[in-house]
Amino acid sequence: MSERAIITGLGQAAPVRRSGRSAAELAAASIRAAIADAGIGGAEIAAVVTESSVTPQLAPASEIMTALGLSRVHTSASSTPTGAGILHALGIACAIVESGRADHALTYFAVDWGSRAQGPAEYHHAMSAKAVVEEPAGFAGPPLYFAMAARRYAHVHGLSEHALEEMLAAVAIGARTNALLHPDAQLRKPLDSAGYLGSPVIAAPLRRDDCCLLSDGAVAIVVSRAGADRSERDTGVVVPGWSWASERTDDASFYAQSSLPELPAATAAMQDAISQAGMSRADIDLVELYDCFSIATVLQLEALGFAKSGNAAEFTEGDSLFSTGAHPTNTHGGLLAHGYLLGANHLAEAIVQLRGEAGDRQVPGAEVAMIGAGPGRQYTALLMERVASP
Amino acid sequence: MSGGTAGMLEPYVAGLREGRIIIPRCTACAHWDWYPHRLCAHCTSESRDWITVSGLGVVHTWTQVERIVVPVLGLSAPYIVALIELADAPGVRIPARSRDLSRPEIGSAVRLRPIPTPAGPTTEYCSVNVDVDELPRLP
Repeated sequence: MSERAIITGLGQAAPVRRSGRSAAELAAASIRAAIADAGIGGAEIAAVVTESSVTPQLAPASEIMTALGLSRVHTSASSTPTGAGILHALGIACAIVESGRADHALTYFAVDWGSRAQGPAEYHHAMSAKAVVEEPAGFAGPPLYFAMAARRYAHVHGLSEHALEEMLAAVAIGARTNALLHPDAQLRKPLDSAGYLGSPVIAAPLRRDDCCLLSDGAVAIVVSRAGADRSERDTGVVVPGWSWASERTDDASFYAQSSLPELPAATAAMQDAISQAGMSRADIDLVELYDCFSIATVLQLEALGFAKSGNAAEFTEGDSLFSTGAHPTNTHGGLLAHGYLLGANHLAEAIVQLRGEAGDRQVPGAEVAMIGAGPGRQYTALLMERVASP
Repeated sequence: MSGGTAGMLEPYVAGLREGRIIIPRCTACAHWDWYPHRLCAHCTSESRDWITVSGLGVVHTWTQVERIVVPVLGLSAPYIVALIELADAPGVRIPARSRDLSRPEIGSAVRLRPIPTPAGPTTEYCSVNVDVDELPRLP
């Protein structure tokens, strides 16, 4: 097997509700930082890979390459939509480097859905089954999709209303508590059980504190061939396994017709990633999951095989998901409390953790992280591992 | 997003306007292809029949909306919306409004009825006093 590509550069425009900047500007700032972090120049980037639905509208690669003087790019690719696509793009960037085509490849994601809060609703409304069939019935907006998934989960697994509420609270409180230790988290107000119960219900059983933020922000990552790594770090971060899996992802197959609470694509992608890496779940020190809603964390913990089916309430209990807990999860605060960068921030957090640079929220001895996104019909599971630099 | 349903849902909406619930079934393999795909998700055939179903079904899941996230013309919170799985077309789920704020029970039998609304034709459900296993089904 070819030598693993090293993640040499990370740049972030931290999530905020209103940045006053366009997504393209935020992308550019994060890319400059990532390229500097990698210790290279923009003209050394030979490949660019991006997510396929939001990025082409907000920060298209052609525009970014011109603006930043990425003049020697000879390979460009786009992956799949939204969260799963962001992780998928990093996987493809690694594959391009590992194939020998490029010494340095760039991937980035930027979004302005903090400034433009109608972004997610517009994204969903553009799908005709939603506009024509679902919205007139009042089945409108992502919180409803996941509220229905939560109810179905409780029914299938025999959870009482109270047990469901306690489980969702544990996820929301875990994310918030982790965010308090992140200097750039968007939401920095502590949350306890009483606070959670005081949070207004949006679509029962989901409360405002079960719903992700809206954010402006960006993340850029440079991956390099080991022999071309000029980042001068003692340790590197590699991607020993990743996979994307999909049921039909067109608009005809969204949540109303999904097999919730199961996530077959997540299960399939995880199996594949784990087996590529030759690892087991016990090797994983922390996980960063696409927590658009608290229930999404629950569904993924089970679909990915971390918690047994129907057992998430026990798995998430108390301080289990804290960065200091038994199962450190969304150690930056996730989409619920760090920011809604659709999972790009989850990649950034895993890199920071594996570099050992996470400060107060550092998971001690973190060597392997699992990042997962797209908890609907498509999913990417990606493993990162800390290795000694050559 | 590709392979969307744009334009393919018109027969369904037209059916609702006429007071009927009609669902596409693949002519070649009899798969209920819902929401409709250009190519049948089971056998890739492009030909389908629109079949009138009884409207009887089972509550799959539901939520009570307390705060409007995406405004729907003429609809105000609180309201209940449910996904109803059709007895005639296993696996096909239709979103439907509740007529009141009584909590539906997942797994219980209901009947869907087309209704006109300011947001367009849709369905509402009401409970029926029938055992789920006794629901009449299309042959």
